[in-house]
Amino acid sequence: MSTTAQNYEQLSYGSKASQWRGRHRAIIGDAVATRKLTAQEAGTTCLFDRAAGVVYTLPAPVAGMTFTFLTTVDATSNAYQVSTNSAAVFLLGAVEIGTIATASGASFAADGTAIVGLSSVSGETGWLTGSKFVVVALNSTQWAIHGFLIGSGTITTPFI
Amino acid sequence: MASTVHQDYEQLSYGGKASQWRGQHAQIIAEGATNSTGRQLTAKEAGSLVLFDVTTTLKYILPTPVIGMTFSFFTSVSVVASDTHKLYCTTGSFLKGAVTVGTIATASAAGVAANGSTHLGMSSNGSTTGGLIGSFFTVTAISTTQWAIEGFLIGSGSVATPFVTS
Repeated sequence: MSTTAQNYEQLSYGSKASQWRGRHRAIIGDAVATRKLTAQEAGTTCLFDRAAGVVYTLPAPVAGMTFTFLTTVDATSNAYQVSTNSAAVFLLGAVEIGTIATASGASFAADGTAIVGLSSVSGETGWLTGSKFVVVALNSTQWAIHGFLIGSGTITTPFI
Repeated sequence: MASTVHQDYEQLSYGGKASQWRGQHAQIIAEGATNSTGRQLTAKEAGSLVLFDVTTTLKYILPTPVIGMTFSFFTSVSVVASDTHKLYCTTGSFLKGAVTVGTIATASAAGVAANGSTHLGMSSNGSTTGGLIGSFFTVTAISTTQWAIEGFLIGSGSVATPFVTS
């Protein structure tokens, strides 16, 4: 892989630098069971805000595309899940899962070749409020993932 | 940093309401090759996601810090034990803050601090000091001599500080 210069609309580097002031993120918080994200929605913060679970599907990855996910409601059934758009698109990276007020943090890896989603289906897999992770498309088949999930009990991998 | 610094930059300005950046795509810097002397990052590349994307030694060098300048780093390929993934400041500038280093499937995470006065870089060895796939951290210039750092590194074994003084 090599650095790719992309011809996008941008806050370009002119004579000095650039700033983004008065910053307000776009929030996707529809509290629905399933939601397909679009390329135009890149840069948004997507909420896990429905106790009965939310499943987001990412768009086809284009290098640099970014989404942030934040849990604002503890789940109690089903899953807080993010899936890639295809069985041939994968997550690469790791997330940490920790439990409240207990020295318990451990990391879990996504290998970039078989992992097609993150699915928190229990306290053990991190479906509690405060969990946050970010995905950034690295290329047309991989999303980098990093973040921290809040769980309970004997924590285990959320990757599927 | 003694006070808020207002900078006269090109910007998504704060008009009557606020601003949003939709359809956001980060610039990705992927060196993709061994570089032990160091890939110099530039001010124009601030805001990029920079990849540690080889198993061998790869070193990045930050530009001279200007307040607000930001870079993020992600390890997409784990470094092998005999080599290192490195980030260094330019002479006279330092890292300040902390990162957590954790290991896969083991309750082991520990925070390690950069003091802002002697820690001029960090070096991950693929085990105790991070450098495995999924390691992520961000640096933001908070003065002309200091970069704030925060993030999470993935390692193995008995985790140790990646921060270096030379």
